[in-house]
Amino acid sequence: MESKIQKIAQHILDDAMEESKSIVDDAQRSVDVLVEKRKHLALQNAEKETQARIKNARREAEIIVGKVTMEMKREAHWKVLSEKENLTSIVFEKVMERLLKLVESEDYIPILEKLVIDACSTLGGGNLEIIMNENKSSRQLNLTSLESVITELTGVETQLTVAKQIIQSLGVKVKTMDGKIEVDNTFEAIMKRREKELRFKIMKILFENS
Amino acid sequence: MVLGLLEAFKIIKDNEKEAERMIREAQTQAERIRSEAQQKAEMTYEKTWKGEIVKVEHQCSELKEKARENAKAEAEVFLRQAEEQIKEIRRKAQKKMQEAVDSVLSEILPKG
Repeated sequence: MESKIQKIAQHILDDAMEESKSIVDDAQRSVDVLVEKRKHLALQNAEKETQARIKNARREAEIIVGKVTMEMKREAHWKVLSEKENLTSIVFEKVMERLLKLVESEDYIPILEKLVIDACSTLGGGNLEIIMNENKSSRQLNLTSLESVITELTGVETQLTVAKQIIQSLGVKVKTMDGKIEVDNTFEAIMKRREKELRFKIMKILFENS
Repeated sequence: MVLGLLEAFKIIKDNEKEAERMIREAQTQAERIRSEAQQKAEMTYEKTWKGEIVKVEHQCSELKEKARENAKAEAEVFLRQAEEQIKEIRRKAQKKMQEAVDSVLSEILPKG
């Protein structure tokens, strides 16, 4: 009898022990499942984020390439333009050198005369003052002959006076005696007036087909 | 005999109480395990997520850096081509310089 009771009592404890073990084991197993599930979810979410970030990075990379390409094109274009501008300026410098040589030659006198006639005709003749550079050609002008030509061209009796004032530029300036109106036929002024047109012409010659 | 039965009931009752205690304790332990599991799962999530994000950030940086390097290399080639173009422009222009000077002079010197 006592032995049977002992067995029943022990059975109760054994069952409880088994159930306890089962409860703890279940909990333990659920830990692994839960951790694995969260890890899987993290990987899934990270994959979505990865795709989005890579898409953004590719877009940013395209922007970077576009920006660098644009800057490089602009820089290359600027360098080419700058060189063309430089070469055009060299032409103007060479023109000035040629003019300086021309002034020293006898060929300059008829040129200067034409500049005077042109300026005086523009002013319509009359009493006019001529302002020139201090060079020997300027002193060789035949004013009487010029007055006749201008008088004939304008129909107005013309008298020319060489001003005491001297200019550094090559060419001539003519003004009315009262100084109110002036025609600037110095080469600098002529080139400045026609700068756009001349640049275009120079560029066409130098860089056509470049 | 009656005493014997009472003794037997007491033993069984005591063991039942002990069994209940054991199960309660197991349940408490299971609760603690589950609670710790939640924390462990969250930590695993964070660690996995951060690990993947660090990888992708590195990947993105590399992608952009490579694009930048490629663009720069391309730019250098393009600029070298521009330099060559400039040399060619200069070479051709030198040949026509005199023609351009003559043309300007013919424009600014009075005619006739």
